[in-house]
Amino acid sequence: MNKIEVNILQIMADVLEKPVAELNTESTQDNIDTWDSIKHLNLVVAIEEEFDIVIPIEEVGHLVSFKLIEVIVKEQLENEGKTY
Amino acid sequence: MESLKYSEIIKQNSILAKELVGNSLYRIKILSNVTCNQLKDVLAHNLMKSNINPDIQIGNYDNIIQDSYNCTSFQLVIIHYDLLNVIEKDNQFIEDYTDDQINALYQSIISDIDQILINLKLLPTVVFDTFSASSIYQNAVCSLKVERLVKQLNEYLYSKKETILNLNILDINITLTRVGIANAFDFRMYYLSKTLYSITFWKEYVYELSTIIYKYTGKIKKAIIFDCDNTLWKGILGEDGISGIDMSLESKVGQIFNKIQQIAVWLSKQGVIIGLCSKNNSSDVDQVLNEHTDMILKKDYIVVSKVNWQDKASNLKEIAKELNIGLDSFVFVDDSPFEVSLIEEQLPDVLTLLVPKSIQEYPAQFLTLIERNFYFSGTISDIEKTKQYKAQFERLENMSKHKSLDDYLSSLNMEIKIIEDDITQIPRISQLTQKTNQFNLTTQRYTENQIQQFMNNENDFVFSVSVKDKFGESGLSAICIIHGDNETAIIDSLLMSCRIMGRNIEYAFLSFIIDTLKEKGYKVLNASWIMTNKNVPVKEFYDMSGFLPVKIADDIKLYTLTISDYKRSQIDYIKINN
Repeated sequence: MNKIEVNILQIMADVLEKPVAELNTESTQDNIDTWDSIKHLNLVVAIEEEFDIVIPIEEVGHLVSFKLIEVIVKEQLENEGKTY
Repeated sequence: MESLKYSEIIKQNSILAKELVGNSLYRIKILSNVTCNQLKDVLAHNLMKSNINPDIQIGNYDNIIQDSYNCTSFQLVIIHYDLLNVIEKDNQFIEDYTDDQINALYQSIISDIDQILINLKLLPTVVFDTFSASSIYQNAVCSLKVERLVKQLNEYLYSKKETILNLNILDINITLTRVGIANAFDFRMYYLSKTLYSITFWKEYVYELSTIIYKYTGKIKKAIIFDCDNTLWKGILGEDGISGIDMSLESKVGQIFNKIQQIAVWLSKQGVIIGLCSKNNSSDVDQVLNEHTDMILKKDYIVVSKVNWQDKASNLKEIAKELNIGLDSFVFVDDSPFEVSLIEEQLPDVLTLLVPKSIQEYPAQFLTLIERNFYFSGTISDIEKTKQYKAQFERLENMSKHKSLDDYLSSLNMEIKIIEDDITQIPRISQLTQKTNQFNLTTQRYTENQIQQFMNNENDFVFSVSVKDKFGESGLSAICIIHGDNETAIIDSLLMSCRIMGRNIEYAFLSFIIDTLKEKGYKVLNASWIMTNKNVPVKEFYDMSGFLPVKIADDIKLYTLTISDYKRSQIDYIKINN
């Protein structure tokens, strides 16, 4: 796993209050019981802070799985001309 | 501002929470008409770092009034009533409102304020955020109508403070200024989920909020100990000599140190203990204090001085012992990274400030630390306190000139005045319950509002003691709160300022209380000692006063006394007035 992936997993673990070992690249809102709508917003805030990006208003609701978060983070880093 | 990232804060919270398991909970409810879930994590983190074990609940979104009917079990309720969310509900732009419409809006909000404050009036503490116009137009030209409405609402809120004792107003413009308006709001999240404030805002906001909370949980500092060289003046006295050190208002860098001394003088007048701890020849520093014309921080303002070659950790420990206050009440200021890290390592309870290398930042850093760790009630007793501490030192010095302790105590010509349920003393009594740690049998912290309720209640009694001796007045220094029930009374709280400890005033006070309860018809008096980190010295107080232990555990002792069996203390050198 690259640095971006590792850090996304770590932030998911911290914010969703799960051991990082319980999470993997297949984790989604459907298979993590603590991932409710409030934690979802907290997760977006934490991801943005970590990668220093602002996720567009239309995308905020789409960050519902590890894979989607990864796609959106990478896309946004590129859009904002940032490297991580 | 808090430097940790939000995810790190959440992670640390679960570790901190485990360490605090078993500590009594400080129950907080947040009522708001905007979503503020992240405040919960950030606030919990800030409080847990200060060993407060919070239980924070967030009310339902935009249910401030409804939830305020249901807050009885909380020690603190925070109200954030955001004007933005009120205005956004209307499909008419607010600048288009007529004066009548603006006035109707004002009336409806102030009647909400009244209802909320009435519903919460029995709680220990309420924090109400000020209204702000900043969220409405951000950086756009501010309009007169909204600005005026905000001003009127805030004036109304502040006017409530005069009659509502549990109300604290938090000026959110301070936080907005610190983080900048562009960083404070997240309108994207506001439109998605009514989350108006950014994580950056909350990280700064909790500092303002926790200053209020510390005030009511006894977590405030009482003393500042300064190094001298390059801390109170520029230069090294031992090398540059008295004429080589600089703290002159006329000099470019000296004026910065002059400002630090000005602040220290002001703090001393506010009742903060100012001390020196410097590796220098004591006579050299004395000469500066007595003779240097630029030295504003004169000897009169300095309560304690350790100028010697001993290590500073030992010096601070000695100061704590002499002043009879805990190390966690201390701030230590020094320009040497070595000394600062020594103190941080050896005395982690002491808060330290390293004089910044960019010296122009020194006053601002110092003031920020003051703002966040000290609380000034502005009462006269605070201002008099420096004199009292100095008098205490003279008393200690006098001690060696007298023979036995009883002889010494007799020579003090002590007079105590005991008063029952005096409402003018409410602020000072509440402050004593918040600040007193050592001679405090049960360590119940009470707000002004709670003290007032005890005084109003027919079966509760609040006794206060003011002390005077030949050196001066110590002011209101001890209190006792009694709850009565039929023929049985219980001592809810008995506490005494450390300034008057060791003079047997507690025994004279207890005798007086028991006499008074007897007159009121009480037959039995129950009491307890509840252990804290600080009150082990008074563990045996009730044993020594003739109470009968009924339950003994490590952290709590319960006692009872049949009032008719009580043997009064035979202290004839304390004159009691009532």
